[in-house]
Amino acid sequence: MGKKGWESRRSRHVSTFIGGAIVGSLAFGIWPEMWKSYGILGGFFAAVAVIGIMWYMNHWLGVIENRPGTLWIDQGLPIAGAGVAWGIVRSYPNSHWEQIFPTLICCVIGGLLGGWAAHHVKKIAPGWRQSDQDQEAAS
Amino acid sequence: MIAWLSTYNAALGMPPVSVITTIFGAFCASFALIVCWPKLVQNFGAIGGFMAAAFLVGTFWLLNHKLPGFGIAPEGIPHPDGGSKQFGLIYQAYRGACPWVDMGIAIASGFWLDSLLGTKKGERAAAAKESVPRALFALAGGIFGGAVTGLVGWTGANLFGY
Repeated sequence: MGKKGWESRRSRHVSTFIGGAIVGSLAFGIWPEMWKSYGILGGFFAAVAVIGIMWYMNHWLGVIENRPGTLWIDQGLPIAGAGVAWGIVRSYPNSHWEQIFPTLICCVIGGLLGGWAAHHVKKIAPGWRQSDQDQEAAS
Repeated sequence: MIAWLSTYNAALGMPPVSVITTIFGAFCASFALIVCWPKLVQNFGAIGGFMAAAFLVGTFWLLNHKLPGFGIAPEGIPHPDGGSKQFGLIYQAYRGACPWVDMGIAIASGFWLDSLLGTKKGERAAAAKESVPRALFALAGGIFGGAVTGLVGWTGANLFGY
């Protein structure tokens, strides 16, 4: 609060919005076409092209706001929103959008379970423990 | 077993077997990305992120989202007893003709919960509250981008017969 320009809270939100819009558009503008044209290898290539470069923009360079110490907002969230919006707009008015909710709920349940399990596994996995000890030794 | 697995279709809105596959597919993608991606980035820098995009997202896209709907057989491959066959672990309702549910929501919710559990206990509520506007703006951006991408079918152009 009080800061002007690109340091302000509002500008960070605009930045997050733009990053989400671009990744959502790219994922559903490119991925289905690559899958249609080149099948499974097209999907792999789309993963590198879309997720790779968009991860670089959104998370390595930080277009989606994730300051240290805050909860992680992943670009998967805008991609999921884009998938639903893309489907609704593309086949309006016969989009059958109310049919998605069981899958959506199951996806969130599975994702939360995965996050919970990963949090606990990272405490005992040797690769993660080793890096924690290195950080403690360095600090 | 097959009969039991499809007993509660109407109540759940999806076949019970698809509940199992969807939750498992979401769990696998979320878990593997959370454990591997930050480590690959830590070990290899930005190159590690590209490796993770190729190997993790590419592979889990294949596991979760391959579908006869796109390009292979647009009407789906019918089961002998009705319905259509699913290939990806994450179930797409209405034979894939309703809006797309992406594994991104599983991965994003997993990352969010993982970082929430990594926060100190007293600061969790404040951290969760702080993340809400960021999540909403990211989601709104995705909805905007996806909706605009969906508009391309409405241009009325007739290119090469498509």
